[in-house]
Amino acid sequence: MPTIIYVEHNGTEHAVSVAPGQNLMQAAVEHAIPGIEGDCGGLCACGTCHVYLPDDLAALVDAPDELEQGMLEFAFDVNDTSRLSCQLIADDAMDGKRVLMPKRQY
Amino acid sequence: MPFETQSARDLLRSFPEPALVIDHQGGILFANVAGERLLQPQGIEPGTSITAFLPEDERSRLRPLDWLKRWAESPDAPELRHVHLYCAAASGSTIPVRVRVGRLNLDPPCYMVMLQDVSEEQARQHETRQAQRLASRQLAISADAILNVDERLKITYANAATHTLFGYPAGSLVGKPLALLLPERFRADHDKYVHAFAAETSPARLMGERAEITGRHADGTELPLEASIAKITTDRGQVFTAHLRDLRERKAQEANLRRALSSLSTIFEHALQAMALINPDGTVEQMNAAARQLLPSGFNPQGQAFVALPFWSDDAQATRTNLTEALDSSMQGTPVRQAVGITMPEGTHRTLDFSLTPVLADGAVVAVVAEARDLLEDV
Ligand code: FES
Repeated sequence: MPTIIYVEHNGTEHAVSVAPGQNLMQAAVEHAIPGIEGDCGGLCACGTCHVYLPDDLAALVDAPDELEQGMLEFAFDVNDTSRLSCQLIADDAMDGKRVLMPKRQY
Repeated sequence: MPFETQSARDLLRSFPEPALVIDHQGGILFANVAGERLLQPQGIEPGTSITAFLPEDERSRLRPLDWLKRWAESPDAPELRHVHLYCAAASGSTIPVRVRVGRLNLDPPCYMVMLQDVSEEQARQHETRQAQRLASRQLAISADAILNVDERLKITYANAATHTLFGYPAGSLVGKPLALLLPERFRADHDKYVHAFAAETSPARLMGERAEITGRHADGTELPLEASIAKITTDRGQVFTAHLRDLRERKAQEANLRRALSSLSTIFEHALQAMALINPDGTVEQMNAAARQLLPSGFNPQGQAFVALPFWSDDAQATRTNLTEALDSSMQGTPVRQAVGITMPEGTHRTLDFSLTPVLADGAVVAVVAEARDLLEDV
């Protein structure tokens, strides 16, 4: 199982082993990682699972679809590296990669 | 005015929830009383753009008018249930609002926007979520295995320590039968035990209140465990929650201690020198075989005052004063060594090389060891 490192806005790191196929929002919520809310349960309908992807991880995932881009409008402090973590599916290539979390989801 | 002739505008005006009518460019055409109270009690100038009531914040990318139009066309859009807009309220604070939009078929179209202040709901939700996070962190770092089981004795939750203790990969125990964690020979009894506990009135049984139980590691070895269990009645029936503590280390320590103690007591009992263990109150705790030989047969020294034992010489007074002083100083922590005369049961005298050694534990004298070696036999 790949280990993903969730980094809180204050720098606190949470290493979590995520089952391949699970989305990164679900894994964070299951492990009670502060900084990701996931209000809609992964329907891409709330924008509260916003994260930033460093380049190495961004290179491993598809670009956001139109729905995700739309929902990103509802997230805070969005930049070019912003993604909704419920749309990112874990796989073994992601082992050891870091995901950065924003200051707020509301 | 009778109800039939009341205008739609008047009805909307007194509608208790904040409502706005906007044109297709986002200009506010009308705000009801509740809407003005929320946004601008002095009254909203017709034509003011709704964007004027969005807080200046990090959501700069949000295009609210596009969303309102989209939601007017699809009132079942899933995001309508989950997203909040934030408005800069008259109170100066930023308030999360849930939005509903309806399209008014005019030309060009207008939109009716209903706002619902959800700040309290959101605050409550945050509190609950924080409490949940804290609780789940506590479970995650607990050294005790903590697991929940439903009425059918299926595992519904198991913390990290449970997986480590029983040797299963993280997260793999949920959904498995509790029996998996028990040795075969205990399964039937354990089922009965849980059902009996379910039926009784007490809400919990704590560690120490019940005997040790035995668990089964994934590799088949047995684990001695201490357990607390509690039951909680939920909407979905009873849930049992168990805290299990691994007793392997404690057991191993106990066994080590027992081994060490039995070696020590063998050494003590069979030493060639006469030895006695004296309590802080001056009574004899134990004497070894060599020391017991100095006593009349059948005499039980345990609990007797050490200085009053029968073998001390006949000039008893002097010997006793001397011994009492020596014992006192050893009880203060100072070892003593001197020659002492004793009388054997059959009447012979001997002089012994005699020592008193304090036994210290945590800085306090808990006992004194007396040892004696024959110097020479007086005739
Ligand atoms: S969880 Fe709602 S958008 Fe990702």
